[in-house]
Amino acid sequence: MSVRSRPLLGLALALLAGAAVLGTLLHHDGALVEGGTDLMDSEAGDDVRFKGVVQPFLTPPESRLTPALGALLSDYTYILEDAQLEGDGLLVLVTGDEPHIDTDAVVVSGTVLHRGLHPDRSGRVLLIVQADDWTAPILFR
Amino acid sequence: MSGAVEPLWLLVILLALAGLSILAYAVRALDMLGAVASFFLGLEVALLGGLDWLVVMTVFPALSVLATRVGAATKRERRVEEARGGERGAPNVLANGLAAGLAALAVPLAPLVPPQAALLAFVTAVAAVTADTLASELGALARTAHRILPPFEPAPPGTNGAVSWPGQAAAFGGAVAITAIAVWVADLPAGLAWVPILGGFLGCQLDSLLGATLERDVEREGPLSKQDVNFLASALPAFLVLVLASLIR
Repeated sequence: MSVRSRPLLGLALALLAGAAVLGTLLHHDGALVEGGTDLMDSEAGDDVRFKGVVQPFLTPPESRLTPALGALLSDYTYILEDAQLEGDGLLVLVTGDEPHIDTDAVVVSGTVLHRGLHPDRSGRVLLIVQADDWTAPILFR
Repeated sequence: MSGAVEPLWLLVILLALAGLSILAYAVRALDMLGAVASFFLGLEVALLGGLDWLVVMTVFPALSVLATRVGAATKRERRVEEARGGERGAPNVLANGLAAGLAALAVPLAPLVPPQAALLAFVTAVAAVTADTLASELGALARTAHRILPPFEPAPPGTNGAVSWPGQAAAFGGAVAITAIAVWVADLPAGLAWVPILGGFLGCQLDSLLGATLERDVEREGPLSKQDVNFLASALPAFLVLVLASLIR
């Protein structure tokens, strides 16, 4: 293969490697999800991937969840802290078989188990997400 | 929720496009203007269609460079080698990429144009230019070729409007390769894969037909240049697919 300039070839390969590394890191961080995951519009059965800060969720009696909803929760359940979603009247619970130890930002991949009015009659919409994977962001926590 | 996605996404795209364009210039696949044209065409496709569309589009020059260099000595001997040792310029980039770029312009027209129709048109355009380039480059190595129009007289391989069995096989393989990549990375439904495969292959036949009738070359006058033919042979099937896929929902 005829090469016009080895330094240019090196620059090109470095740029491509940089793009690949940055793309991988951003995807890992939940920042590079094309189209984004709109929890507001997701329905039961949808696959979702989102980034946020979660706090442990205490169930009875504060939760006022019905037994049917309580049965959807796995061993470890967290509440997604997101001012925008809360302002829009959406409460998101993330539940999984594995604990999420780090209380900092987390990227969650999972499936929506339930969407419906919260049984506490507050008018909020309750979304329960089964977490298949917890990932801690690297670049943008 | 995650914020500031778009500037970071744009940074990845710019790095990748700059890398690809400089790479193409460094290995003499494109001249300076060709590299600049490919950068901006790729940027338009990536911004409108996404990184997955850009990946599909990138397979075309990669296959073209490989096909150009297969049997280079034989092509030189037969005088059917691409000019300047296979190095392409901005007119080549636009002739082969403009139809795909125009198909990407249909993305913001949703819901008037369904997203799937835009994707099908885009993949068809890329499949057509890939099929044509592989057919030209690999068909030029065939032992015999025949004119595409009756009475199908024998013609030297590499002649405008002449086709050969290896060239046709390469055309079909090129259309299949692009479509397979689109199914893999761009979520093109596998059940619709036949559309760009057929559109790409027929686009290649249209290129040969226009080459035999309307294209000017050293031996013959005609209203169309090689670049015009390349553009029309990819744009027409892509446009047809776009219209039909928009009407048949």
